[in-house]
Amino acid sequence: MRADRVLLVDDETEFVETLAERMRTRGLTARTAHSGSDALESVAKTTFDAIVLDLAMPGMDGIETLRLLREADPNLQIMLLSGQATARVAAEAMKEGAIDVLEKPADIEVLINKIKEARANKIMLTEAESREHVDDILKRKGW
Amino acid sequence: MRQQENQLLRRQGLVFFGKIVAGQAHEITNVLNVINELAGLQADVLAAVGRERTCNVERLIQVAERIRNQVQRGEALVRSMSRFAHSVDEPVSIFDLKEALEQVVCLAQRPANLAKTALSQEFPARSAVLEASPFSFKQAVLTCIEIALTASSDSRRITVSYRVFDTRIEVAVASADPMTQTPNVLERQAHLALLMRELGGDVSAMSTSEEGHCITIQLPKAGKGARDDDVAIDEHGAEDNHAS
Repeated sequence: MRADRVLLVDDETEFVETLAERMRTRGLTARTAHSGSDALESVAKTTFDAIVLDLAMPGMDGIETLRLLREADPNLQIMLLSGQATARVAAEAMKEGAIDVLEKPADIEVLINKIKEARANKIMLTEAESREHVDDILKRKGW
Repeated sequence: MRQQENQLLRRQGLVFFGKIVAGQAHEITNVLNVINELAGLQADVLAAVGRERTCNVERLIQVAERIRNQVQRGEALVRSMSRFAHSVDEPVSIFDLKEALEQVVCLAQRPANLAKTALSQEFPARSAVLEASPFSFKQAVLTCIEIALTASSDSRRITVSYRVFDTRIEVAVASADPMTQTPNVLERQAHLALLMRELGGDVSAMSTSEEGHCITIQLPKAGKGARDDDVAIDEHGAEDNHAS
């Protein structure tokens, strides 16, 4: 089975690169992006099992990035990681389709378990979509 | 009327203080989060020693160096926050213009970063001494920067500079973009006008689509004897080498 693929998005370069290093030592394929627009570019090129997104970023913030990423692919499994998540922001993130909102500092093992759960969710969603697609073809062909 | 304005100034001062402290606290939290991850990375390297029976000493040294860099970054933030906190100690005191402006530019880096704007300073080598409320002065300059940040949606570069004349100083906050009069900007301009009245200075603004906008505040220098090595520029703007 291939390694879990995660995109870590945070403008705090040293933080996100260290977290990625730690994930790689645990066998994950971790990529990094330092802004919302970088994240959108990465997602256009590569498929990820999960995306871990910082809330407060220059320019496009976490919520706006989340919205645009979900517009690009509604099956993306995105969790927010923030040092200042208020209940209101957490609720907004969940409304926009985030699978979780975690507080910094998050335990790396907890984070990795969330990424594994996200991958399982994504597989289920993709399979359900494929089944719907096949059913649709069968219906249209009258089989 | 005057009492209402003073109450407004006090309230806005408190809001301003809270905003600066919250911003600095966020930056310090970032540093702590990085240190937390680096400590985790160090533990990962050490855990690998148990499994692989070899120790990557070079990597451990690199991680220690990265931790030291973050500690230095944190120390600078705490020093800056402490200096800012002490600026409310005295209602009026004698302070160095350049030092105060360097601190303001440092404090404004976070809001500038969030607005994706490069904030820079262009200061002459020599400074001047002011006798005023350091807190109100910093608030006034930061309000100018905030106006520059919010006045234009595509602001990309803001420069803070100052000039010293015989009897007064001039601080300029310039942006390459023209000013847009949004309600947010008008509110800050009103706040700035109150602050300048309290400081005993003047504010002026210039905005054109070609040259962008520039907010200038002027304040009297501290009385003679406070320090005599200020750079001298005559009242017409010509620089003079002798002390003022």
